[in-house]
Amino acid sequence: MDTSITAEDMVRLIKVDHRADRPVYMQLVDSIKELVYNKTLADGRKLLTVRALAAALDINPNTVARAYQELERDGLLYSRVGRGTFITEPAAAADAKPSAADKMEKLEQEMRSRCLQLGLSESQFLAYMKQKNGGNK
Amino acid sequence: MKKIAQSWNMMKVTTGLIGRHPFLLAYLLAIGIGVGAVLGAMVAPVGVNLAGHGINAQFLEPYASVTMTAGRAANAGSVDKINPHWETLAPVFVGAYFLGTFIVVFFNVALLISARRLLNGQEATFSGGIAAAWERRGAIAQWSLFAATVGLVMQFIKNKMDNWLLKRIIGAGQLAWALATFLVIPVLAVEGGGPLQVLRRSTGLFKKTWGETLAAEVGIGTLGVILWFVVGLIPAAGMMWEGTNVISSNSGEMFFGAGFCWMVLSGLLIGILGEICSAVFKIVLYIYASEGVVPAEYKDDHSAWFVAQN
Repeated sequence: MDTSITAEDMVRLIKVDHRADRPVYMQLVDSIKELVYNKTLADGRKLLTVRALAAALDINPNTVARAYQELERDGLLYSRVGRGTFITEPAAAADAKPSAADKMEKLEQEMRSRCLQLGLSESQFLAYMKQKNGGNK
Repeated sequence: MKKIAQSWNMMKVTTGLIGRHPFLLAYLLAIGIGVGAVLGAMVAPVGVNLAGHGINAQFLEPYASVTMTAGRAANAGSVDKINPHWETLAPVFVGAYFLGTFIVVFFNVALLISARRLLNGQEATFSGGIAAAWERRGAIAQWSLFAATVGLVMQFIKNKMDNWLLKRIIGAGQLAWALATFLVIPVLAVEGGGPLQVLRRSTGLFKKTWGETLAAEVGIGTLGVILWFVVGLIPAAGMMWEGTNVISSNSGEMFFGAGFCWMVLSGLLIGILGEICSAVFKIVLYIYASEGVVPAEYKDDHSAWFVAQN
């Protein structure tokens, strides 16, 4: 089965506003992210080539190339030399989107680091938080 | 020196683009022909008068009448005083000014539409650029009317001012207007819109790219002068000097004339080159400011033109 996305699909799904303050490549990143997260594109389909998408949206090929690079860096797309650029499989895409556990872990690391900077022990900080929450109830 | 080197590189890239697509020059030629035709139509009645009756009291009709120096024959007199007929002169001048502005804006928009297509890796033709600009004729006409009115009003006020300080203030206003409208043509070419919308957008884009704009304009200007000095002025001066030293002979006059012609012609050609480089660079700046990237041709070792903004 051909899983390629057509130029018509991309023009219909992606809206680019030249008058917006946000650079077009960022608008493109936002649009594709949204299409991946709401599963419109999240099935490992092949994207248009840089030149084809640039022609379809009437923008510079470098703009599409930069957007694809950003999305690859975020783990939403992957490229295969000679084959093209694809949407990452749903499971992998979900991994690319930070989970609540990942966010909590990051927060914990930041908290430990800040406590160290301020000369506080973790237990002091946790006791304070506990007391504060108890007091607010 | 670095800026000059960057200007040189930018001009090389742009002239390379023009070399691969020489039809881009035809837009500037069209501007020259169009504006020339408007001016020609404006002065045609005077030409007809002169051809028919020579210099007499009516030779500037319908724009003005002339009072001749007393005691001279009607057909061979010299002009003493010109009395403008403002009721004819003003509408013709304003009409020609607007039409001239429209022609300049229209063909510049067509040029930038074609240049943008080429920078985007697409095909472009002269007729395609004209057709695309024609689709924007409403926005172009509105902008031309607006810009011509603002330009005329500012110049009129400046001419009427006696005060040195007020003249400087109006001069500063004219500079601010020139900067605010610097990216109007690419905005018209890509987005269109009403005059105020276009002005706001151009101002916003200029704020994002003023460093690159300034560097490009100063660089192109400086390089143009240097180029003219080396390629035009020095050889021309040499030929004229040679010609003056042997002025008694025909070849001396010929040398002098050729030198003078080369001085003017080289200045004109370098001016046209500078104009087209500046125009193409405006669309590069527009792409940079609105899309957040630099077209591939301009993204090389000398991309210091483009300071990081994103």
